[in-house]
Amino acid sequence: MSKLRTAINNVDLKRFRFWLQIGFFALFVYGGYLAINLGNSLPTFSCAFNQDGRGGVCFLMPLQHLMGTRWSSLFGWAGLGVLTAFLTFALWFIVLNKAWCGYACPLGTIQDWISSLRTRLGIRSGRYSKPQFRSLSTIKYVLLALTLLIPLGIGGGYLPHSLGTPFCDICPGRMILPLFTGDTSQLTIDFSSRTAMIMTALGMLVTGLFFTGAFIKKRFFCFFCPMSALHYLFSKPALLNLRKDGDKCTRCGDCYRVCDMQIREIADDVETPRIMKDDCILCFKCVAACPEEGALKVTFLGRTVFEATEEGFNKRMNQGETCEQPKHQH
Amino acid sequence: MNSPNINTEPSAFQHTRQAREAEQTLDQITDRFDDNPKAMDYFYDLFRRVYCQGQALQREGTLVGTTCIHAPEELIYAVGAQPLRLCNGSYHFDQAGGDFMPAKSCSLVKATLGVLSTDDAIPGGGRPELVVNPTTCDQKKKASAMVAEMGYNVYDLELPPGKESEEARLYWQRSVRDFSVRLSKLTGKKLTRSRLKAAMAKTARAQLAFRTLHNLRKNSPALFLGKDAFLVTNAYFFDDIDRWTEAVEQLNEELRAREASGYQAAQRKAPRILFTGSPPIFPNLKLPLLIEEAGGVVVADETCSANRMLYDMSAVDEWRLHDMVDALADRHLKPCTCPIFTNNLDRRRRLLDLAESFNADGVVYQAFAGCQVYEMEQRSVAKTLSEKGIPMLYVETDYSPDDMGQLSTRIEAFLESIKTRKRKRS
Amino acid sequence: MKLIKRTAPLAGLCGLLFALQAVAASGPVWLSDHAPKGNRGMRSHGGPVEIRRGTYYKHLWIRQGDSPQTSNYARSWEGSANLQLLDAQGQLSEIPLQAQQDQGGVEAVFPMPDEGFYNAYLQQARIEDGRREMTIAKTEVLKHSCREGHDNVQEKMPAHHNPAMPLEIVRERQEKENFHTLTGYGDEIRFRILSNGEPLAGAKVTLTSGQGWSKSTRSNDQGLAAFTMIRDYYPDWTEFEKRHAQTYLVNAVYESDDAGEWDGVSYRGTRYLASFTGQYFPSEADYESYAHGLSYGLGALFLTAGGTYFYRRRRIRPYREIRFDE
Repeated sequence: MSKLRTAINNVDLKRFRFWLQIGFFALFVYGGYLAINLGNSLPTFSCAFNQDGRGGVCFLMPLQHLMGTRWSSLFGWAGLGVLTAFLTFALWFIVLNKAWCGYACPLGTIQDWISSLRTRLGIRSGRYSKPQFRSLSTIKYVLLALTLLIPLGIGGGYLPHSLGTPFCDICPGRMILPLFTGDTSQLTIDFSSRTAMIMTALGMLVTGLFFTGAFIKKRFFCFFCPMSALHYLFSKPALLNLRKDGDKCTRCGDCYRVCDMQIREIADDVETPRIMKDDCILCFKCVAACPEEGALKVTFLGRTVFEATEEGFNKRMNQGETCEQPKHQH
Repeated sequence: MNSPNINTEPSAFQHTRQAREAEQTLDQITDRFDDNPKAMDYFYDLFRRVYCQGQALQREGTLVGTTCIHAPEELIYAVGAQPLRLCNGSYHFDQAGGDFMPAKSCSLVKATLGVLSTDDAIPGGGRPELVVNPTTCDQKKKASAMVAEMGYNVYDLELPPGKESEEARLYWQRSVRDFSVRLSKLTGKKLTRSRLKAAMAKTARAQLAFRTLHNLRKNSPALFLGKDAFLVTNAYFFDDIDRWTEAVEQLNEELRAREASGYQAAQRKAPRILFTGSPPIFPNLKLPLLIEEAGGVVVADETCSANRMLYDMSAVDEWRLHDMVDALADRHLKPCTCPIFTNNLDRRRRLLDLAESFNADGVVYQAFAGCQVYEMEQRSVAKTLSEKGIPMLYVETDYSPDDMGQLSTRIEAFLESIKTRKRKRS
Repeated sequence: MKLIKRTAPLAGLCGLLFALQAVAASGPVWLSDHAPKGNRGMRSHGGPVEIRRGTYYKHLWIRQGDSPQTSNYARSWEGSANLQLLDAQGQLSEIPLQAQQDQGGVEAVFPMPDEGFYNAYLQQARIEDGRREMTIAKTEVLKHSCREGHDNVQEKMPAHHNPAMPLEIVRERQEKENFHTLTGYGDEIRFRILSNGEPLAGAKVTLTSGQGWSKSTRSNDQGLAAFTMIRDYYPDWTEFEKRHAQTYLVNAVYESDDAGEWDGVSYRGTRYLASFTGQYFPSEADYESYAHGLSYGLGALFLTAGGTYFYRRRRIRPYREIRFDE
């Protein structure tokens, strides 16, 4: 048992995550070909527009549809449907918590691939300054509010039907994920109405921005993702969790510097044991980069499954071990 | 004498005051204690050769002197140079350095100036090609111009006054990047990814050896004594890093064997002391030696000549120069518990954590007279420790041996009070 | 026997109008799900429906004419009292027809409890000049609510037919067709002509678009007749609707020399006339543009990438003096 524990704590998280992400990518982008269907309430970008390949449907799409129900129905029998859908979503979500972002999300995985391409090209990643970070990280809440309120306005008859899925319209996942099954039909501008034209144009602009963004900033899109904001509302009862023992923390900042989401609290906050923040994607890179025994832990149902250890840190960080040591010059 | 195979031919160097001072301390370390670990012989020999006989260091490559732990050594190794920590612990050089500094100044800074003012600042002769002076405390900052006046190439590595803010971190990262450019110019060797990777592996291996040694000190009763641990980390100042690492690894082996056989280097009831404050640097190991001669055992420390220098490790996300250099910068700033920074929260937390994980019974806080930052932090550290019920002895001292008698009385009384407390508790 | 007794809605107002209606009344009979005075209830994926306590109900109206544009609603109906319904489960039932004078037409209403396609048949016969004329009006309507999910759609996709029908038009499914698939301009639509469930070759098949354009062809050996749907919708851009539904009408004619006696009258042969209606819409190519989409996307990509590149270049330059802007 303790051997297994050591083996887990010594895991090469980068490789583990790479393969697990590929597995999830295959499931959500190509699962449909294997007749996999995980339903309509998935807490990750298993894009509905990827008609043939999707292994389930991202909850945001049905959520917008449901919110767009006529008010008389929405506040009547259809409201029950909305609640059921939310409940299913929450049940999916609490199992993996935000690891849905760090491991399962196909769009997140694509961003990680783009980042590793950038690393190979030797281009450094961008970083937000503190004020930038603070203002940018509120955008996802604004987007979530709009994602819910615009369809609600349609249900009330205040907004045109062509705005039915406002977030899907501008989500780069709609353009990009169907491409993996050879469907290019989302790369168009829809001129059928002014609204459609504006939204599809915005969508294509966001897609262009997505590629640049993901290339120069790790997990660029995740800062703005309304799904991430929605996750945070349900994250309290989640089974998988990230915990910090502040007493053991030296505030060396190793966790912060490897954090794709630039979450400062992971290094600086030594008071809060439940250290997961709203931007966190639960990728556990911080745990892998922590040299202090047990300072950071991954828990499932309160039991530790993976924790920071000195040995594990050394295994993972000692990249130059096999390097040829240069001869002394004389 | 412990080491029969060293050259005992008397030389002129052996008659210098500094050599006699070193010899005295070494004799104290080796002869007044029983059962010193066999693997410590490497370090005893090393100090005898270098400090008592004035033998050359046997280091190859351009020597870059550093006056503080903040200068990332990995960068120095990566451009093919060798770092040499210049901080000095000799009373002889402390007095010599008195010419440069006001009377009430830190012994360490004075001794460092003192040794640099000689023609053979490097043991065995010669001078470092570059002196890197991180702008830490006021005294070290002002020492920079004096060192330059002595004819050295001095590089002021600019450190921010605080480490909490993101601005400070970015400022420091820029400083370190600048530093790497300066180093490349010094040796004419470009900083490359593979060179830096190799350098980082070199220090990581040393750090790992140190951490293992550090963790072995958690054993109760102690497997070996603090005076030896300080000697080991002091050797890191000037020894070849690979030879040093191998010697520490051997020491770790021996200590593991001791652990397996249930060996006790100190009595079961010996008070376990956590050492903090101004750094003990050879030959000024008087305070740790007094503690251990009085029956205590130094089980851990929070000083820049040992733990703070070697404990914290850097994490890299993207193994590219831009991220590796920034990672090194972070490692030399963020976890640092040096009192020069605006806030000492981390130092107090670190002490509490060390006291707990090493099961320390008390803390000895050394402040060099004139080292204002340590003197000023005494109050807050004492408060934090007393809140947790950890007794602390605050000792203001310097390199002079004059206060030995008085110190030994105070230390004995402190240890006695700890023993009484322990008895009452059990 | 007279099939339809009409009363012109604006009789006496305009003779010309009356004349036009009289001409239109001579065409084939067909079934439409659009009410004479406009639809109430809601639009679903299968066209207009009425929802009563969560169940979808379809209203079908009898119309007559050569073209959907000029066809009129029957005011009264003298033929058989029932519509024959082949439901989504393949069960046959009879649905009574009711004349709704206030609505201005004759309708049949039936519930659609199950997801899938419902086929409605209206059969009529008369003898004229010693020949029997048999009309089989058919329409196929879809019941689909997205709330019921999209999991088992494929098995419900194949078209049903009624082997009892002497002449029937069956719409062939498109490749990968599902409940959301629409027929668009430029799409090929194919029909299979069946006689008592067997493919019928050589029948004359005519497709008439919503605006009256028509084309005829003959069914081949497999009973297949194919048409390419034309675009006949050219509004101003501001009025363009991508879900603009139009009805196409398909007729098939086939004559046989089977002599016999029907309703006490003998006949020498029979002329079978089948009709079928469906909906068509603007296709995506009518309102979507790859050229614009890709240029916007690539434009954003290159602009931001270039911007970042130059920003980073500038940052590498040495520090420059601060100047005050006065």
